[in-house]
Amino acid sequence: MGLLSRLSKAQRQQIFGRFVLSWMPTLSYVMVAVSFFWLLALPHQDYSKRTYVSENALLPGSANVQFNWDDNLAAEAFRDTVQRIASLPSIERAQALEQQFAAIGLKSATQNYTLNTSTESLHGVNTYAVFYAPRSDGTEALVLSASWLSRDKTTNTNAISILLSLGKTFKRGSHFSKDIIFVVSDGEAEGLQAWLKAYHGNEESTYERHEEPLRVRSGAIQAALNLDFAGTGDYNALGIFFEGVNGQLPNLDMINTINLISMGIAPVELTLHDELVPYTDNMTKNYLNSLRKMLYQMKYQAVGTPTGNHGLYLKYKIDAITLYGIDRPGWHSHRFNLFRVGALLESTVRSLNNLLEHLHQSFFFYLLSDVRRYTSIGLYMPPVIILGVSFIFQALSLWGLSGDLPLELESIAEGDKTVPVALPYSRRSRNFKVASTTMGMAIVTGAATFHLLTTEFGLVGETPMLKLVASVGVCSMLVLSAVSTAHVRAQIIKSASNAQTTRAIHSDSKGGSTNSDKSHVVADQELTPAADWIMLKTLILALSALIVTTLSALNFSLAVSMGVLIVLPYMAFRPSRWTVVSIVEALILLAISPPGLMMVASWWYAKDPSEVLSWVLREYEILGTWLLPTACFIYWPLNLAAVIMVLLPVS
Amino acid sequence: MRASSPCLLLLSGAVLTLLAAATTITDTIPILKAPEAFHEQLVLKPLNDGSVYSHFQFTTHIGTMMDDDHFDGAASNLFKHYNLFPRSIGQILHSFEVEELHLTFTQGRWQYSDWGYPLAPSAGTGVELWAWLNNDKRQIDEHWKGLTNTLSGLFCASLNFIDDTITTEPKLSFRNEGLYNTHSAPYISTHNDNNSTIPRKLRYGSLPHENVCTENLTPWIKLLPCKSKAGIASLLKSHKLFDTRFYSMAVHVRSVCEDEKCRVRSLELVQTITAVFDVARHDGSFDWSISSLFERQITQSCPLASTSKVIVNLPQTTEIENQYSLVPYPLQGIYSEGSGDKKQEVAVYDLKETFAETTTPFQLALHWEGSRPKSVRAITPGIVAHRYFTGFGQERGGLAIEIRNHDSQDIEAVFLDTLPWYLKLYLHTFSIQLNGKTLDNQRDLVQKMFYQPAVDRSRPAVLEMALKLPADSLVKFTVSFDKVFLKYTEHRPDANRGFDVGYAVLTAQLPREQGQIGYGGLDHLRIYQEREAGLVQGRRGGNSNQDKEKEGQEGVTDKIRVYTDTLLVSLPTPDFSMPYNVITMTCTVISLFFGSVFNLMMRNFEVVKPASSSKKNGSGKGKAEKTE
Repeated sequence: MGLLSRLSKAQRQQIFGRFVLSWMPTLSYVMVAVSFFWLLALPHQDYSKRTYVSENALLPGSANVQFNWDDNLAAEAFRDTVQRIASLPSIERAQALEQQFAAIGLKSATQNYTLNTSTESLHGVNTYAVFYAPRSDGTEALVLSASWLSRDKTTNTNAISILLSLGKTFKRGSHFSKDIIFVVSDGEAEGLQAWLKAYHGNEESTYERHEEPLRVRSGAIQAALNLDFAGTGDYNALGIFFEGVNGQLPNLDMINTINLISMGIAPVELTLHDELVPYTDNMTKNYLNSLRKMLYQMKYQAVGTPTGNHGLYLKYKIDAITLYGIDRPGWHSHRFNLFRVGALLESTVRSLNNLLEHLHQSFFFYLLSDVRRYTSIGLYMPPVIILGVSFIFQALSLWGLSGDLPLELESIAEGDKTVPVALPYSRRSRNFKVASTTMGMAIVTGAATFHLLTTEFGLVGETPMLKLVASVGVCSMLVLSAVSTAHVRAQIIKSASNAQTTRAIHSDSKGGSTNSDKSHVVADQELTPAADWIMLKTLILALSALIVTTLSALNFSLAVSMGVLIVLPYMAFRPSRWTVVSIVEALILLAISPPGLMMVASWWYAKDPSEVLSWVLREYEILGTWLLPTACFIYWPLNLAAVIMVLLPVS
Repeated sequence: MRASSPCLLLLSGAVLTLLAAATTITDTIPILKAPEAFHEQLVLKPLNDGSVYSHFQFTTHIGTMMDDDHFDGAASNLFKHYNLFPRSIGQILHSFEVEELHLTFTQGRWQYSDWGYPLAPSAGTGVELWAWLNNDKRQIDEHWKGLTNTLSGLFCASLNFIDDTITTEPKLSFRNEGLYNTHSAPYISTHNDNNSTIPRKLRYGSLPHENVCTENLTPWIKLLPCKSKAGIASLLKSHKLFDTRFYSMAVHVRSVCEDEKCRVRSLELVQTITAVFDVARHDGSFDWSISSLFERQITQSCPLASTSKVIVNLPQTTEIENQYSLVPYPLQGIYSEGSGDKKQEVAVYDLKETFAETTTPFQLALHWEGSRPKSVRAITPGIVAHRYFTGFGQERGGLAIEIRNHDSQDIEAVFLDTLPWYLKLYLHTFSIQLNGKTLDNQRDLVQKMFYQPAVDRSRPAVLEMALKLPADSLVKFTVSFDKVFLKYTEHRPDANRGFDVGYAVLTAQLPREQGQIGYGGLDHLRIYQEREAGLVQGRRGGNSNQDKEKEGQEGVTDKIRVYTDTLLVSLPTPDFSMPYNVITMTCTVISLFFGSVFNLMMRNFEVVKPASSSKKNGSGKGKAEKTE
């Protein structure tokens, strides 16, 4: 017989049981340690590779740039115009810009939108213009967009003037295979969102959302560049923002293209985000810089907020990035003006124009530790999976514990030798009612909180913070009632079983058979089900494993941050005989509950908690980020159940 | 070219005398036969946005006698002898029993809202082919297949890809254009209808993503009697023609009536090239001349042509009179039609006359006083149609069609949309909005509706509607569809590009309006040609007066076709490299490890002693039995 079949079923069960009960808990902690170390190793240089352009059709920087000194002068002239109209009301500003685009010879139009969230009412006007590529069939398009408001909260003057100037430059050429759409959006994200919705024919006309249908259209948008060049001055470096809504990322070739162009045809210093990092050979410093860049990316991904308006495109399967002009006086690199920016943009658009297919060659899942270094999904996924598996191992060992898995074999004499015979697989019945009820209640509470927060009741003095306080109240009621009920029930069962054991001892003394004694004890054990907290903890751990691994495929950063946050408390915490320990555990769990995390965030960013809450709500209502639903439907219920778990009687 | 011109002249002289002889003979014989003739024409018009529209039209007539009901080339000895008519086309018509043929190659998009309607009847991007075939012998499908393949070879285009999955048979659009002109306008209503006994059938197909280039132009030029050696066709330089905002090249063959009772008919071959030049692209100046547009000159007219004319539709300025100057000023002066807002001025240059007097190349230039023509009268086309996809993602989507009627009266139109089978239309989601409000009663708007559901891998979905578009309205149709997950071999090599979906066509009868660039449709061209160039005055006698009266009448309509843009649909695409990687990887792993691991797990290894007795063997067997 082979390795497996050589052993009898009973022996296999024994090995498995021993592994589950004695090795698995240890192993799962080891795995957590491995996972943490792996995650921390990711920013190290040896784990990332240099980026490269994967799509051969792009040919970055191979075309001659047409943007010349006259275009630069035109851009500067447009800058004055933009400055003049920037202070006008939305509608007049948009119309003035529409005329500017029309004067260049592009088809232009404006779009009105209104968005009423539960807390505020937003209204604005977008301007857009289409350059119809001569000779093309108009099935494909590229978008160049800029918002009136820069991320510095100042007017995006340079970006809008370069758009106008580029429109003029493109008009001269006949080599474009794709139409180019210019969009100047109002507001922050909601303006571009309204335009994108209308472009894809999803415009709504209700009280909450109203988007005017578009009058000028083009084909399927293949890629987009969002420009953020605040003010009227020069810049030191170019920052790339790429994180989209809910952790979506554009194809890495978008960044690679800019990378090559910024090294060749339009030399500028390139960096990720708005942070300039001096070059260093020091390994520790390099590691820390990479770590900081990665954490920045993961922070935005986990929260689901885009780092710029480019993030909205990704939802529509359009690859997009934001280019941001960093003005850092005193920085050593050469300053550059609109002339360089124009050349860079034109070259990038020419390169994207070369695309024969939708961008698909390069990575869609990556972590960037530097603008030229990436970590691929093959390297960063294992730690999350290991984390998920450690949850599963812990849950399995608890499950074995609850069923009292047999670790020893019973030998039965059969003729001249003994044959190992298995004991029943589980000797205790598992009572799942309490665990499932608690979990169900917690999920219902979470859902109720979500609806409470997102619905407007029209009551006087109704604020999100008040609603959150109300739902925290409901949650604490739930915890209190569940815990007190469990304790009362435990008392009753205890007294009942005491009575039973006294009766059993009484009857034992009567019968007095040694052989039946052992079997009686076994039978007794079968009767007493596993403690409720064990069942509940098993359920929590199993659900956590499910959620962490599933989320890791959808939003890696969210899965990692959630997993890292909950893995140790959920695995290690259990009700203690000392009430103080239980309470400390419960307090720690409260600290990592959504309201607790909100308080931590508000302390960290020195903001009012209500501001943080309304920001989360706003992001959900305008952009549809997953943070609020995830917190309410998944994270909070698990947390509530965990709090209840540590407060349950030990029995 | 210089050397060959006397030779050509000689040849043309010979042909002309022959023709003259032929006409004199036919006059005496009871079988009527119209003369063979070739006309060349170039229409130029500065457009509102500064572009220059140029339309080349080459018309070849070959006279024939036909019986009352159908045109039979073979019976009338039409395809036995060729003078001006290209033999390659004649043979195609003959062998596939083609009654009417329309083939158009187009690149770029026609901007209806800026440019009005084109003179060329077809303007959809890509290649469009439609033909009426004689179905006497019920071989229409073979003939159509043969026709597409032969034309594919003739024009170096992928026309052979117009197979069953693309071909349709519209019920309302693309009616017979033959046997129909100003003379026979009443005739068409009585005869050329469904009750006709002629078993004709229509076949229509289009390829939206076909690129048009020099390789298609060269065979097209070869069909001309003078090729591009002389006459207007000598301007056809592919470098300039294909660097334009819009380029369209067509071959139309149909039979037309030559007299009132339609006893004499002729086969007409019309070859057109339409191009829109962006003159202001480089230096911002809106001035142009023939040599700046085409980088070539006309040194002589085609000797074989009966007429050879260059016509300039002058821009209609609103404020100041002489904002531009035309050099040279036409000898015959400037014609004008219409009045007030609808006034249209036309300058005609007869190349035959020009080259009779001089041998210097023909020059023509238009200079604007200012740098940019600001006071040019705006164009408002009556009907504009747009079509676009709604939704995103690769699972499902929607189609929206917007039709705007700017006219102040109701307009009847026919809408035809052909969608490939891999878009599964849901007709129950079809809804109509009029000016933004959903219509419950669709009867007023949609008077007839034909829908042919698609069959997977064999035929497309066809939606055809007869519409009555209310005055000053915006009609919007929406319909949802699912995207099919294709078999992996059905994807193109560039799978991630998506699939092109051809244009929709809107055919409408528009009230005639002067001042617009054209009216779409060959018939107008014919009228235009006849009246302005005085082509067939002698042959037609008093008929042209009737035409003019008709022109003046209210309610004269022109049939135009409005083409929407083509679309790109992205279907669910597998990552083609990934399955390959996964398959090879898994296969390797399995083949390397499966055998050994399986063996290790399941095989029983036992030490067999070589000198074992039968007794021991027996006990060994017994042991094995026991453990089992």
